[in-house]
Amino acid sequence: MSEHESIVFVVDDDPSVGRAIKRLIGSVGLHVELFGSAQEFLPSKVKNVPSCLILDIRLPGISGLDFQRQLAESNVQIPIVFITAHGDIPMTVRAMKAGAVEFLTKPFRDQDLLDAVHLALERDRRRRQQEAELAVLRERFESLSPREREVIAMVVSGMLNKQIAAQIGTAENTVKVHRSRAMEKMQANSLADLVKMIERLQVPSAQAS
Amino acid sequence: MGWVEALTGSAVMSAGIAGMHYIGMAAMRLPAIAQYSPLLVMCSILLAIFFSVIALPLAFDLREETRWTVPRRLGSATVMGLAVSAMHYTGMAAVRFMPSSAPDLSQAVSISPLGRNAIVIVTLIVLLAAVVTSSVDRRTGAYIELLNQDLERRVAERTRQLIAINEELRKEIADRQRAEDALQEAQAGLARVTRVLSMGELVTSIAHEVNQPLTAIVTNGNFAVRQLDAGTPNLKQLREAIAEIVEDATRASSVISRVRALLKKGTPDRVELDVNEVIKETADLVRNEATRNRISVHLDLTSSLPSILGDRVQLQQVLLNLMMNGIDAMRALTDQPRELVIKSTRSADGVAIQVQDSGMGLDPRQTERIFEPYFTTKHSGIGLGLSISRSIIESHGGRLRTVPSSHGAVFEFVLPTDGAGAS
Repeated sequence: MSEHESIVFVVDDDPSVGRAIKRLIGSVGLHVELFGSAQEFLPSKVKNVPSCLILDIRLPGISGLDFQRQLAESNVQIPIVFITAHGDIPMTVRAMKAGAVEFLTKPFRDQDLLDAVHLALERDRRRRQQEAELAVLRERFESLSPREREVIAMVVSGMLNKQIAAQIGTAENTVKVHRSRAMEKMQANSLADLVKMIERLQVPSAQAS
Repeated sequence: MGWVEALTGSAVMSAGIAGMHYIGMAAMRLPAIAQYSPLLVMCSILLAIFFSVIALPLAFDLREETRWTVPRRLGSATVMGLAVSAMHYTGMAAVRFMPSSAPDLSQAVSISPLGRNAIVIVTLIVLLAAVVTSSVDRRTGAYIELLNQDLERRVAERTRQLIAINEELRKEIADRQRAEDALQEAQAGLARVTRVLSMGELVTSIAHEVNQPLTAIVTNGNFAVRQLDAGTPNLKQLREAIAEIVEDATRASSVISRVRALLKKGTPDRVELDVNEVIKETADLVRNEATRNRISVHLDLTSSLPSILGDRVQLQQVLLNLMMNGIDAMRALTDQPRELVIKSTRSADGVAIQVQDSGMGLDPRQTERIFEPYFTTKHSGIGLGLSISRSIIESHGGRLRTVPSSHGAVFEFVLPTDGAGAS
């Protein structure tokens, strides 16, 4: 499936509804995969391309909402567009709180569904891109020596070189060397850049004692 | 006082009188020998008995009579005196004395004047005691009489009370009958309500069933318009989409006609029905509800069953009720398979239909109570479903009951095939 630019998964127990959705979404050039139940849609089918899931709330075996939670628990991150014959407000609130892209009531307007699908795919694309960036940053951070990590943690918390040197018991020049080497390894152009990177990596900043 | 007592009493009394007389005669010490005429002796005794027989009833009847006591007492005493004197004088007439030598006084007793006085005093005391006893006896009689009257008065009063209570009970029974009639009327009203209620439960399910084909129709329609707008339509796909639109529209309309049949009001029909067909139609209505609860519906129908006479809607209502109960019973199951089985078989007296779930089963202590009105084991139930179902089946001349099972609950009803029991 990786030859497709993106994949739209559809889970609906009514075959004719599933076929109609597949036809509609297929007509705008998207690849669609159809499943009759939640059990058939296995997380392993989610490939490394932007994807989204059109999920019926009322399914045999498990409700769409429970399936959404199950996916989140097994760390499958896929944007979900819910479709239901009779959605009530609590149901909608629950779905949206759990991160659903859209909640459509059957029968839905074709444009609403297509917009929701595009939005979901875009969201997944962005998430994947961010994750890729984060993976690069993490890799760079991993390449730092323990001393360099210690020093930049203090740098991003706003300590001066002099203070850092006093704290770790070394010369100010040594701190400067560690700092410039760490900046180089992280490919940070400025101190502000480094602070942003560390923030994204969620590294705990050191506290001045 | 009966005759036997009177005669016995007279005999004892006469024996006393005669004994006293002849022992007294024998105690006499005379220079003569006494000779008795047997005939006169017999005569004296008979006379004593005769007067005693008259005197005794007179004396004893006094205790029971309240009037004429004094004349009767006097009469009784006179006759008693007659008995004593008649016996005595006849006895005296029966004896003849022949002169003899000096009397033999070896056995004679001489009584001093003091002794004589003592005898007189003792006799008087005995007499007094007799008088006192008799008086006490009379008073006791009067007291008993008083008690008797009191008792009678109380019996009469209690009888009056009982009559009043009886009257009240009769009134209460009438009231209760009226209440029961009213209850029956109310129940009939509620039966209509529950039919609507169980329909309400189903509306959600039916709405879904209609909405699914509608969704497909709208989506396919949109697709077709888009294809045509694009100018270069994929004709194969376009044809498929339109064919499915027709198919789904037919599906939606069949759901609606089934619902309309269920909602149709009116008096119970008696038409020839194929039980299997009724089961299939009803199963279609609950299938969606079952799927939503991960329950599989399995039909195990015997083909070519004889047709029955009945009301389609009413029988659907019963089946619907039993199936929904089965679904409710399995909702909470986690580790067992959830299966609803509906069976139809030929039975000795008609067609038997069984609805079986794989839930927790019935509490054996409640297998009859569940048919009572307002008895429910559900959190949100009014407890009329089974009671109404049973009355519907009974009005078809059949019976609805539970069947003991090791696995889940089983309800069975038998419908007669000849329709003879149908009313």
